[in-house]
Amino acid sequence: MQALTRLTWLLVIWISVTSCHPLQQGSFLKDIYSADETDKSRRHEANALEINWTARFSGCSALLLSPTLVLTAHHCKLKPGSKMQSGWSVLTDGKVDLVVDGILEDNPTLDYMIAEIHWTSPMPSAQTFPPFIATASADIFSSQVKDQGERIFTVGFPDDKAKKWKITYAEGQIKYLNGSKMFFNIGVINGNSGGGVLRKENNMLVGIAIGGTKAYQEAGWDQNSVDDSKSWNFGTATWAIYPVSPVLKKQFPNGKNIYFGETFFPKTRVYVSLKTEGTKASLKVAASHESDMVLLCPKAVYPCSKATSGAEVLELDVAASGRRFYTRSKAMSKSELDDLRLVAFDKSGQIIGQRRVAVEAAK
Amino acid sequence: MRKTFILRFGIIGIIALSPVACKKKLVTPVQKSADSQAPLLKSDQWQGTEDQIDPHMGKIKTLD
Repeated sequence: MQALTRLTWLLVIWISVTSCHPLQQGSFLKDIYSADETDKSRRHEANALEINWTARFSGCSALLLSPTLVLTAHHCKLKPGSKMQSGWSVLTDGKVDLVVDGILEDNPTLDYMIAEIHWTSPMPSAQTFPPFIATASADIFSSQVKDQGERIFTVGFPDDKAKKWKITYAEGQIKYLNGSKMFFNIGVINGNSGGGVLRKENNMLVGIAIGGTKAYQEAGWDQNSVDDSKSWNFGTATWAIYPVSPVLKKQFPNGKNIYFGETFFPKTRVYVSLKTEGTKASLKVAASHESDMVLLCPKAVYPCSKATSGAEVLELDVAASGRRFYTRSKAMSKSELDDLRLVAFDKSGQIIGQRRVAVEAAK
Repeated sequence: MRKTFILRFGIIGIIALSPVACKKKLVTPVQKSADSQAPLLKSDQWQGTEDQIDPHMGKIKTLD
């Protein structure tokens, strides 16, 4: 009877311990996809440019907003005096090069924290910061349809790659929005918490990586599909943080980072499609949903404006999947294809992207 | 003996199922956002996220 009682006790204790997975402080992120082992486009070791989008501290990731400001998750528990390493320092096996001077904002509801920092060695020359921040959900495009949704990325220190890669770049798409949360299919896991989530099109900060549904090494943690809604991870969207953050409003008035002053950063990339129908070549151009007009510039002026003599307004064909497509009804001539100059404008008439290309004849 | 056993079993059970011992896993119902209702492109259409050109025309070379 006594042996049976002890056995029952052991069984009860074992069940109580293994029946749940308490969330670990400082490593709230869960879930990942195994595809990165065969498809490096979704996750790979961050290159010398990509490493500048992250900083590391005590099991979490972070994003520098300026030389003196860092953004991370509330649950990462950054404190005054906390030591951090920039991406460059991690890449070069350097020492601590960032120290937290004070916490400026700490919001457990939205799970974000902004701290003031200083460098203990000269800031790396390639250090970069987001030029824009999303201040409204309309700034991005989300879709639950396969392969659709705004392309986004985060750079950080996931536990599963801790011994394999120094820093990990991971990308995916925004799948849907729910309140302050943005759900995406980026493969993130414990250690990615606090990392900035940026729009691939223009490095606009759109969120912070926060959580998911499975922890590292939990059964099935690396067996999920990017198209399975049950596997999607999430972050806090910046348009939920921005209205309550005096620091972000000051650093990004009108959504643009004051660190860069008047420096031009494109808001959209301009892509070109050239097709032939018989002997005629037809042009299509794609830009982001922020675009309102695309001009085909004359050879003498670039970038041109609507008032420029010879500038041609391309017709809006369709707006879909977060992009706008423009066409030219007239066929393209050989000389036009030798130097194609395109400029995209937003509704206010500001240039938001430009592209100059040539067609190199097939050999 | 049996009463003590049942009492202990009950206490352990309550602790094991309490929110303190086991934070609930995040389960958020998947809801379609307004954005996802926007027009979509067919998968075989040009998505406008990279250049495309008829191969016999040549290659697109960026100049700026």
